[in-house]
Formats: sequence, C-alpha cells, structure tokens
Amino acid sequence: MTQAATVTQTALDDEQVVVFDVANEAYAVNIARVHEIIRLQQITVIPGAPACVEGVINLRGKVIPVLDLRKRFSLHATEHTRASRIVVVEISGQTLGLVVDGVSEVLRIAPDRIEPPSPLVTGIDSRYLRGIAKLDDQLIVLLDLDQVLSPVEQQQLEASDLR
Amino acid sequence: MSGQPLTFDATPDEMVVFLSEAEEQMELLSQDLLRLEHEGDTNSELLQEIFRAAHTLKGSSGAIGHQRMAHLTHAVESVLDQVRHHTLPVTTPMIDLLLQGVDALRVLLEEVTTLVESAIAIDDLCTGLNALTTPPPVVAQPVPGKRDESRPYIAQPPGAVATAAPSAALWRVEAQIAPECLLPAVRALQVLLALSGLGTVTRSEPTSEMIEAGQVAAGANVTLWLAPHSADDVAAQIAPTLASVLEVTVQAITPEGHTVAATPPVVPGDQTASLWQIAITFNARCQLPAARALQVVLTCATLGTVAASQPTLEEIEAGQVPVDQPLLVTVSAPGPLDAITAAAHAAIERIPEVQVAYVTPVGVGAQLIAPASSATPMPSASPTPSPVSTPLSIKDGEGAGVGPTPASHAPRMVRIDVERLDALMNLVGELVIDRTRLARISGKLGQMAHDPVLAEELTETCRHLARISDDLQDEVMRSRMLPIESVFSKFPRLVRDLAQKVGKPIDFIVEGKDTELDRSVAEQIGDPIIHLLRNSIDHGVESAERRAAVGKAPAGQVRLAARHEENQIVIDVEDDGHGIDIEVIKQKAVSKGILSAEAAARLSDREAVDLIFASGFSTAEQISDISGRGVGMDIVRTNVERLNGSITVETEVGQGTRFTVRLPLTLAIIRALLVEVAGQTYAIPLTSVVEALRIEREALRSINGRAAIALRGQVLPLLHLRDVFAELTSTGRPAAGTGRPQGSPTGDTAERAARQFVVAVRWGERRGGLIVDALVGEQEIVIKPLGNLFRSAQGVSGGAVLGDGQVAPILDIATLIKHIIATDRGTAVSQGAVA
Amino acid sequence: MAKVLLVDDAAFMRMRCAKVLTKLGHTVVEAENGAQAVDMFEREKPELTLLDITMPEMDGIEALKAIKTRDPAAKIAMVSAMGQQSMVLDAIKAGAADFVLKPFDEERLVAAVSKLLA
Repeated sequence: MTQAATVTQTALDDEQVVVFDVANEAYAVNIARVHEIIRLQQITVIPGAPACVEGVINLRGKVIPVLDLRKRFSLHATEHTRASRIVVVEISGQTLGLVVDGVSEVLRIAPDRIEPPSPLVTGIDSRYLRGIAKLDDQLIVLLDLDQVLSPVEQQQLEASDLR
Repeated sequence: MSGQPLTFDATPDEMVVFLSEAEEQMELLSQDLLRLEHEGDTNSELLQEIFRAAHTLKGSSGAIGHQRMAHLTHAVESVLDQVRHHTLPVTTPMIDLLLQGVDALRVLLEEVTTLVESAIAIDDLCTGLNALTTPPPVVAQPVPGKRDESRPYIAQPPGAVATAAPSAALWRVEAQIAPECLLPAVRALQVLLALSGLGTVTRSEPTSEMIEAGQVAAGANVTLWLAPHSADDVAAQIAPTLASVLEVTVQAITPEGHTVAATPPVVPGDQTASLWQIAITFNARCQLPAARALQVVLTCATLGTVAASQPTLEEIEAGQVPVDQPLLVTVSAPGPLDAITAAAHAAIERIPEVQVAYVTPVGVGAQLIAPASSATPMPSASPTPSPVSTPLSIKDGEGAGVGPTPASHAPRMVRIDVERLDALMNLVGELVIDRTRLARISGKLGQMAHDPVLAEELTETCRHLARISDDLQDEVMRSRMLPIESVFSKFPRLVRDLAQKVGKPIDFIVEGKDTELDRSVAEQIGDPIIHLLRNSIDHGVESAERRAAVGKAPAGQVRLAARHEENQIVIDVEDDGHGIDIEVIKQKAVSKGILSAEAAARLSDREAVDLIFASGFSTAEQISDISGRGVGMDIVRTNVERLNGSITVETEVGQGTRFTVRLPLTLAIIRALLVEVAGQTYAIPLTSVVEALRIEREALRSINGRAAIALRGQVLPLLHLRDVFAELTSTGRPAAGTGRPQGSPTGDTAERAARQFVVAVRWGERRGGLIVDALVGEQEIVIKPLGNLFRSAQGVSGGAVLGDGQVAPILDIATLIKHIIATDRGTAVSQGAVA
Repeated sequence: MAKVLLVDDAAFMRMRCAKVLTKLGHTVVEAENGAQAVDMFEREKPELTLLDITMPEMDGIEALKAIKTRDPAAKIAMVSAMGQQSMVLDAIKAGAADFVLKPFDEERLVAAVSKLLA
C-alpha cells in the first residue's frame, strides 16, 4: 500500500482502477466499468457454453454469465479459494461476472505511469491489454475489457435475437 | 422528398397514445374493409364504425401535423363517407384501393417513430381515391397549367347560389387551383367565398355543391360568374381579393354583359321604427361563418321577429356565408334605437368571432323597405332566450327519441405500457422465487423447533403469503392476457391477398377469436400461423377447376380456430384440400437424401407425414413466392418448439389437412420437474414430461447399440444426461454422434447405482427417456433468458432461478429428443440435426 | 375555475385537449362516447361540455340533444373536423353554444372556452 500513498495525489488526469489478482499477477480495470465486487457463489454450469464461460449466477434475480479470467488468459486453472471474487462489469451492454483470485485495492494511477502493452512483460496475449502501469514496486496490467471477449463472442453478445 | 427529417407536434406521452390509437384504428380499418367487401354496404353499424376509424385517424394525424397522413386519411374518409351515405357502391377495386391506402398509412405512421420521411408516394393513391368520389365527367383530369376550354357548361340548379344582388356588370373569373394543392375543393370554396364578398356569384364551374362535396381536382380550373354589389371597378378588386387564397392563380377576369338591379333605397333614420337592420361582421379568422351566422339569426330571434336576412336562412343552412361580407338581419321589434342597439350588442356579442357593426332602422310595421330581392320572411320567434325553443325549423326526428340512458358506469379503463406489465410480471416472478425460498426456510426452522409456536406462526404466514402470491400471479397474468384476435385480425387480409395471387377462391373461417393468451405468446405465434395459412392456400387447397372435377365447392375452405385446453392454447389450421399423399412424401424424402428407402419403408403413416417437418423438405413442385424458399415446415416447427409448444399434423387424402399448434399460455412462469445430474439441478418443463420412473439397472436394454427400456409395450430410447453434458462441457459444443460414450451403451457402469431414474419426455409425437441421477421435485420456475453468449449451448433453453437462489438450466426437450431419435435411427447425425 | 366535460372517442384528442384545459386551471372529466357523455353530464354537472361529433354508441349530435333535454341551459361546444359543416349547423340549431374545429390550435381552444365560461 505504500505506493498507493504516493500516487494518491488528486490529479484530475489520474485514472482510478480496481486492482485484482489472477494467477499471482496484478490486473486492473477502470473503476467506471465495475458495477460491484461480490463473493464467489455457486456457479451453475451451462452445458455447451463457450469454453471461457464458467457458467451463470443469480445476481439479485438476474441471470448473468460468469467468465473465468484464468481460462480466458489460457493460464493454469486452479480451484477457487476463499479469496476468490466475482468482479461484475459491463461489456457491450451486457452485465458479466469475471472470476478473479482476489481483489486487492482501488488505485489512482497518473497517466504518465502507463506504458503501452508489451507481450514480454506478461505471459498473456497482448490484445487483452490496454497498457502497463509501472508503480514503485509493482507492475499492473490494465485490461481492455472490450477485448476480453473474442470477436465471435462479442458478436454473439451484440446479436439482437435473444434466446 | 424521402429521407427528409420530420418533426411532429406532440409530447412524448401524447405520442405514445397517438401511436397506440392510430395502430388500433388502422387495424380496425383493414378488418372492417374486408367485412365491407363481404357484407356490402348493408350493415349501417359497420359503415359508421369504419367511417369513424378513418375520421379519428384524420383528426389525430392532423393534430400532430402529419400532413401526408392527414391528406391520405382524408381521401380514405371521403370515400367511406360516400359509401356510408350509399352514394358510392362498394366494389372490389375500391376495397383494393382502400386497403392500399391502409398499407400506405402504416408506412406513414412509422415516420412518426423514425422521424424521417419514407419513400412512399401517396399522390397516386390519393388521386385514385379521389377519382372514386368524383364523377368522371365533372372534373376531367386537367392538364396542369393548361386551360380546358372544351369543358361542358354545368347547369346550375336555380336558387342554388344566392340570387343576384344589385350590380352593374357580370364578371367571369377564371382561376386555376395549383396542381400540388392538397385540398383543392377547399381552395375552390375559398375562391367562391372570397368573390361572394364582392358581390353575388351567380354561377360556378364546378358548382358550389360539387365544390362542397369535394369534387374538385388539384390543378383544375374554377370559373365563376360574379355580379358585383357595386358598380365600382370590380375588376381591380377581384385579383387582390383572390390573392389571399393560397394555391390559386387567377387566369382571366373578363366582363360578360350587364345585369340590372336596383340599389337599396336609403331610408332616413326613424328613432321609433319597428323594423331594424342589424349588420354583423365576422372576424377574419372565423371558422364556419355559416355556423356563426346561424347562431346570430337564432339570437336575433330572441330580440324580436326575424323578418329577413342576407344571406337568407336557406343560404346559411347550405353553408353559403362569406366571411368577409356583413350578415344583415332584419328584425321586427318595437322600441327606441338605443334599446335595440344595446340589446343587439349584448345578445349577439356573446357569440364568438362576430361583432355588431351597426343597427339601423329600415321601416315601420311589417313593411320591409330593402333589400326586397334577398329577403325571406322568417317565422316569428318567441322571446324566450333558449335557442332550443325557437320555432325555426329544427329537425328533431331521432333526437326526440333519445331517452335517458341507463346510468351505467363507464368502464374504467386505463392504458398500461406493455413494458410496465412486463416489469410487474418480473417482480411477481421474484416474489414467487422468494415465496418458495421462505417456505424452505420455514420448513427448516420448524424442524429445529426452538420455539414451536413461533415456527407454527411462520409456517402459517408462509402459507398465506403463498396464497396471496398465487392470486397476485394470476391477476398479473390475466392483465397480460389478450384475445388472440389481436393476432388473428391481420389474417383475413393476408388470406385475401394470397387467394388473389394464386387465383384460388378461398372461404376463410376464423373461430375462437376471443380465446385469451399471454402477450408474450401472442407476439410470437403470428409468423408460424402465417406460414401454415400460406401452406394451406398454396399447397393444400386445389385449384377451382380441380375442385370442380372432384365434386367439391369451388371455393376452398381454410379454417383457423383457437381454443383453450387445460393450460394450453390450441390453434388449428385446417383446409379441405387434397391432403398429404404419404407415398409422395416418402419418395420425396428419399430423393432429398433425408432418409434411406429402407428407412422410409419402415415408417408408419404418422411418421411419414411428420417428414414434412424435416429440414430441407418441400413438396411444392415449383417454389412459389408465397410459401417461400421451400423452408416451410421445419422453420414453423422450430419456432413453435422454441415457445415450449408443439405442432402435429393430421391428413386424409382427398379430404384435407389439419395442423394443430399447442402452446403454453405464458412464457414467463412454468411448472417444471427438477432433476439432478452430476451434482447440478436442471429443470424440465412439465408440459414435456410424460412420467418419471425409477428403474432397476437390469431393465435397461440395448437396442441398436443404444440404451432403451420397454415402457408399456413400447421401446423408449434413453439418453444419459450425465454423459451428454460431460461431453458438451468438455468440448464446449456438441460433438457428432454423442448421446453415449464410446463403448458400453450405458456408459461408465461402475459409477452407476443399481437403480436409476428415467424421466420420460415427449415432443410432439416423439418420446424419449432422460436418465438422471435424482428427482428433486416439482416447482414453479421463472424463466430467465441466458443471453446471447449461450446461443451455442445445445440442449438448454434458458435458466430458472430456484427457491434457494440457485440457477438451474432448463432443458430444451425438443433438441434432446431430436438427439435421441437421430442417434437411434442411425441416420446421419450432424450438428445440424441436433441444432 | 370550472369543471369541463371533455367528450371524444380518441384518447389522443382527449389528452391533448385536457392538457390545455388543466393548464388554464379547469377540472377536466372525460367521456369517450355520447352515451357516457350523457351519464357523466348528469353525474358531474360540468359548467361546460366539449362534445366531439363523430363517436360510437351515440354521436355528438344525439348526445347534445339528450343533454339539452335534461338541462336546456347546458353550455355545450361541439368539436368537429373540417368538412362537417352541416353537422355543426345541426348542432347549433339543437342548442350548441359554440364549436371548435379540429385540428384546433391551443389559442383558439382557449379563446372559445374562456368566452363560453365568461
């Protein structure tokens, strides 16, 4: 949290992000895209769903899909733990849950700290990335939420006919 | 013009009402037009109703400033007005034109939403409609901009136009109505009225009757003969006067001989005269001056006896009152000038849009001094102030018969936005979930029984809540119900058009229009029914010649009927055509590669008929543009099944074919059987469940390499849901030939218990069994869409939120049964067959 | 302010008209056909009735006559479309105090109502 104090100068240009862990890496998404963060609950598996889709959960009466970011980033899948959380975000007008290993903090990041993505820095496909924030003792990968879904999934999501 | 942005004068809430009302009127119009064609103009109630629909539509579209819509509805209304007065016979071309008008109106109505002008042209339609109401010899289609000298002179009935006022000359005024003019008759009338201000119009072409009847075409010439009031240079006044009338161009003003008339004698004022002339002027913006004039004359009758007026009462009643010319009323009443003047001002100026210009004495006694020519004696009026009691010729035929209507309370109807009803339905769904949840918690607490009295009270409260939420659900469901008429109403038109297109006379019978169903279902069943109707007309019913040859009535009968059966709505589409020839079907299916000749030979008749629902099957010799591209019945079946419904067909060669569609009454809440497979709960719609059984493992048979059991003498092919789902989940999509793992037909037997549960399900005529791990129970579930991400998820049609808050996938029985049958038959199993 | 009975079979027209009237501070009661109008008139005793002519159940002219039989002093203005001149004339003979032509502009409606209620 030390670096948090150094960057929490209220510069207007600062970007406020939610930082979470996936497979021991720190990722972040813009806080404006995050609806809420909820505890992991039982996820219902839908047979035949796309591979990265874990299943669905009941979010106060609404059934929303849940994506596993480990699977999405082709990382080694592990059992969910007590620290696991579901980050509820909106992509292409649909509410989605992202399963993460844990949520650590909310940060303000000055724009000059953000560098363009480099595939060498992280193990994951650079198309999911919006940039890398270099903080004093840590690198945070900024996710491009709109790229988290594949073009095909994106199309499915935007298609008008609902099942 | 098209593509222009449009604006309309209505607030958003007004627009909502406007749109829904306009849609209603259009629906009514198209229905009633078909009835009109059928029944002719004998049903006066129908005639009134249909006229009202057009009239209301005209009024509303005019009010929001939708000119094109108002223009077209006016043309439609005019035709219907004449039909209603039996001055125009009902013909098929007329109905055609009117229906086209309604079609165009629908397009125009859409502009209200899109706010962009559509490409549709309505001029031809309006011209066509106007031609119906305009007798052709009267206004020959004029060539715009060209004067038509050869037009025959139309004799004017004597007295139709006001008698000549004092004047020195007769002027012939010729004016052309602009070709783009929307209401040419109104412009012509304005010309007539404007000129009446200068003198008396002795004659006109078209006649004033024709003008008032709207029989003036855009671009037409109007010719009037004017006898001016004064001998002043009238020619100089005519053009400026007409300049105020829009869309009219003066072509020629020519003097035509002289008429001789006396100028009114001016009588010196007599302060105690008993005959007075009251001059009343109209405001320039006065609408319907004739109506105001009538009010004035009626009011004058309260001052004394009306001896005469100019214009005369007849002229007033015929609507011939120029707005820019004073109305002169001669009243017989004794008294001093001041008193009469004061009384006249007081009484007359209560009438809007008129003022008393002057009151002048014109004579003594009943002796009228001037102007004699236009005076018409009035019956004496009683001095009571109530206009009703004036003895003027007030027709009170039916009016007197209007007794007090029974004090029935008007139905208190409220319009509710569909979205609100949907939201309400969702909330009720939530409540149903919580109710189930609460009941569960109450049950658990009851078992713990720390405080039995409190637990009992909770149980009681839960029971009450359950009852109330049931009632609430019923009420909300009912509020969403609407008669299937809303769906059926568009079909008579459709059938009529199709019948015309294929040249087969069709007798279309609709039954059970009042059958109610949920809005959600109503919105979705239209297309499948249209397909079935098209199929019946195109393929079912024979040609008239062929029908004659086999001794049937020339008109083919197509029957559409709806009814309730338990918790379903059942819709029949039936024809009395040649039926489905099973051998032809089999051959076709074999030639299309849908199945082998051997397999075809093995099929029962019923199974063979069902082949028409197979993908890529069409028996039509030619692909017509009516039934589409040969993708008929399989699409219908898919759509019906998607709604948790089923479709069956019965046919008899030479006698006809009947399709029966069964649908649930609502799509939002259903009863379901909950089962457990691999530790997760799934829901099976109860409408698809035949029965649930527990079987010993020994009862399992292997038939054609697949698991099956014998159930009441029939073989029931089985599907291990655990295996199917395991495979689906591991690959992310269904693999070809799934349904059983490689090797043993019953899967991993080591894991299986000695007893298993089978849910026998059916889809249409087909049956199959689903092997599950456990039966959980029956529950009311709220169906939630899963969203587009799960479109590839075969075998699951949606999600249900259960009492404990968990989501259970709802099994798509249609797909699963297809899956069973496809693998069972040993026919080609592809993703397509599963999809 | 006055109580006005608004009679029209088109909900859109009632809505639009009612807005103008309520803006003037009048109380508006509505009916959607002639028969209802007669009922409502007896129940609500409005100071002014705006009566559409073309309506189902009982048209405006009949309703006018029925209301006038019950209360000869009733103030009734007809609301009519262009081209219904003869009907308006009939209505005036039957005791209508005024008329407003559709589509009406607000100003005209306000003027007519104010004059009638004066």
